[in-house]
Amino acid sequence: MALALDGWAVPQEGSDERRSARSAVAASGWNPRVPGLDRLDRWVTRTPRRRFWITVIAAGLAIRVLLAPWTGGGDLATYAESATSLGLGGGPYTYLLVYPPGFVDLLALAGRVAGGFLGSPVLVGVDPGLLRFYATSSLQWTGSLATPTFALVEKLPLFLLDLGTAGLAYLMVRECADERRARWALVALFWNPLGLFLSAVPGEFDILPVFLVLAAVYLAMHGRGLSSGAALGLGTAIKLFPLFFLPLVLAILWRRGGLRPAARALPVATALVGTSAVLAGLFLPLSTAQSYLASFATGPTVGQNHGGFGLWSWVQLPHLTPIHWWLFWTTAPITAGMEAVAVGLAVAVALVYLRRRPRVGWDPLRTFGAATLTALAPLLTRNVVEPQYLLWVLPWIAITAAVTVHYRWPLVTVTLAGLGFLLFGLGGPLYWLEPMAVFTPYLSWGAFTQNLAAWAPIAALVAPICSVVGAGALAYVGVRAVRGLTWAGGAS
Amino acid sequence: MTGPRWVRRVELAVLVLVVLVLVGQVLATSAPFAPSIEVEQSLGLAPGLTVKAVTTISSNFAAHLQLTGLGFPGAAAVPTIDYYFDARYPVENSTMANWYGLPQHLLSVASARHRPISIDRLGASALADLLLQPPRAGSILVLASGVLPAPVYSANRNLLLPWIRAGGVVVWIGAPIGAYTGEPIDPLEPPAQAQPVPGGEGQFLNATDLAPGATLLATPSPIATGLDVDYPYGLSEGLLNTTRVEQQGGQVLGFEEGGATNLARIPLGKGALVDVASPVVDLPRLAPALLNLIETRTVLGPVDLLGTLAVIVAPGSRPTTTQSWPLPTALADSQNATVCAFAVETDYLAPLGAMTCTPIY
Repeated sequence: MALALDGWAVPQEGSDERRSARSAVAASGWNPRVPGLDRLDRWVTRTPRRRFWITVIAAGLAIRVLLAPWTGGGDLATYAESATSLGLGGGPYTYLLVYPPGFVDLLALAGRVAGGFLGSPVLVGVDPGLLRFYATSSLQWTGSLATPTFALVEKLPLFLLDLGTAGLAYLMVRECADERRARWALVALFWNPLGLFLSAVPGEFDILPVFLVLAAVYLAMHGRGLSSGAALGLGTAIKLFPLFFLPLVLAILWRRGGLRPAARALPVATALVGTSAVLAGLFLPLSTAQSYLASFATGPTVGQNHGGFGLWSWVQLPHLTPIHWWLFWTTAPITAGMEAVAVGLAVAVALVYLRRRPRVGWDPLRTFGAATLTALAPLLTRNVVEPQYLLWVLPWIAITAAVTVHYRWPLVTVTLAGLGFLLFGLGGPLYWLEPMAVFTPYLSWGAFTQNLAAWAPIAALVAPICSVVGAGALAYVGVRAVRGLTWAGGAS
Repeated sequence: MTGPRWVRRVELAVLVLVVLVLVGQVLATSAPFAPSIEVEQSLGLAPGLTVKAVTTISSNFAAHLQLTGLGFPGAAAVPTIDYYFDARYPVENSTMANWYGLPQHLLSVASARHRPISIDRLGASALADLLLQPPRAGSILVLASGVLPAPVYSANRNLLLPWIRAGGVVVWIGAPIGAYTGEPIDPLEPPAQAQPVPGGEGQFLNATDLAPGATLLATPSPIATGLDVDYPYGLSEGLLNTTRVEQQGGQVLGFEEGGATNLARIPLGKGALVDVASPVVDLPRLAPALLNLIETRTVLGPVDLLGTLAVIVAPGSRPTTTQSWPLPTALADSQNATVCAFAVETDYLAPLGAMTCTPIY
């Protein structure tokens, strides 16, 4: 039984409706002539299902696993420090962790595993080269990095979530369109260089809430209020941005099954977020959390996008002086205004979704377009200061693109843009390959810094190009999403 | 073919994640893993003015320890700490977050060692009040903003130096001591709002006390090795001249390079300046380093290093070591001296440590 969106029957594989939908796409569409694209399309389309899945998963996982132990730096060291601190009986917010406690809870498990089974809770390493580098650079860093063991332990679950997210995209597109488009969505996501890079190299955990958001929408599309609410609540307990999807998920549930499933989702989501926050606030060592809060209350990085607490951590700080309060109340309206715009966009999308009835037949652009616009809402109102924020919207671009007429074009451009961001990431912040220099004999510290210095100008050139390409893909999908949501554009 | 089967699988995946997070939450809130090292020591005087230390160490994880014998005149009380923090005032070679966070880290590390300490936080006016009182024995004042506030110090006011000379002990870290004063800041202006005090450094240390600056030093001093003072950062503006430190009866406590050090205790009158010639960075290293100096009361006065030994303890094992440490003549001649054995975990971020002391007379 395939998905029946908004009460309308969805054409089945081999049915007349499906054939007519497919032929309509072929007849009205134009797909670009990109060298190799037709060959890739033939492979995607004609490869037997089992071989296709094995190839996609094996290739995607192999690259990730090869990269995982020997790359890291950046936030991964912070996660390792927090896990070490937890393993040593300290607090998770002792160092630089800035997010809600959901991921901290998973780090507690990592600390437990490391302490209990690996023999030592110490999950970070240090190296004189690192110390020298950071002591002579303008970067504020501790000169620590995650051990290869921790890097692998932290990243392996992320790889499964990469696969889970791509798999959910496949399911959604397959249920709403056809197998070929679903395969394209799968490949575009699981092989996307940016997604691959973010999980396999810096070990960013954004894919976890992203997976939960996709799960929440998918389950809502099937009228599952409880589990949809749980997914959204858990996602919000890990990073804050899934909260923007609450209006849309409730709208989808309402449209799908009436008020009852929506009424089920809300308390579950609230309970999970609330339980996590209250337990963290009550029991995690506040003294160490305060140093985290202080670093954001007194430093310049009060934004932290919509993932962390940002400026709002101020209100929890002790010993604030009147000047700080004045600064808070002076800047808070601006921050609150931007938050309000983002929330307003998300609510508006949900209201339009709720108000507009679907056209006759299948209309996946309406739901996926709404999800894409919802994912864009927080990104449109803040600077995208970290590449992992792009992951919040990447799956929706792929899914929405996959159900448009020219579906291959945005998928290809998003992939190319992701590749560019990967190159930029490797050359920009310098420290992704630190573990290779520290833990293996294959890259000396001198060669590491020298090569990266030589690479930096190329990376600086690649980044803007990729940004333009990515923005082009985003614009295409955004326009299609708006037209799909409001059905202003005729047949999709 | 997709359908309810896949919906159930997605629901199951969500459920698994919910359970994992909740289990992790429970673990995080109920001390997931209680690492501990336990040190049992018997210290005694052997013939020939030798301290015989029998040490048994147990650990429930793979611990890398430095076992160090110390001796000093007097008793072994751990000093109390006054900490200056006033968010209205500027910082130099420090940051507001690190200035605020350092005592948090000190408390956390002490708590992990099951040797809680208390830290009294003072604002600028309370600091001025403190400096107008006679120094209390066995207490230290930690200044980590790199800037002395105007109520305490300016071009024509210096409450700190007389207080040190009267017996106070100050741990200073940040910009060179005396180089900057500060009025309350305007938070909308750029952060560097400290005011240089021309010739201010000379009020505390002579030019000959200083050495060319460096941002990183290579070699830990014997005390730094023995007490795991793992803080190699230095000030580019200037370090401390090791020869001058020793000539003044001081003690090098940090890293060394080319006749310079980044951390030393320098006697000034009846008191002492423990000068960390480094920016306030890397709190995971700075906090244990300072706490090791405080716990072993090395900040308060001269300490003799009797001997050091690196020990690796496998999980669940209880190795016993016997060491004979020759007692320095000055200590042997003292009528009131203490010897201590200090065991400290040397892995980065592993803050555990233990110390036992015995009066030898």
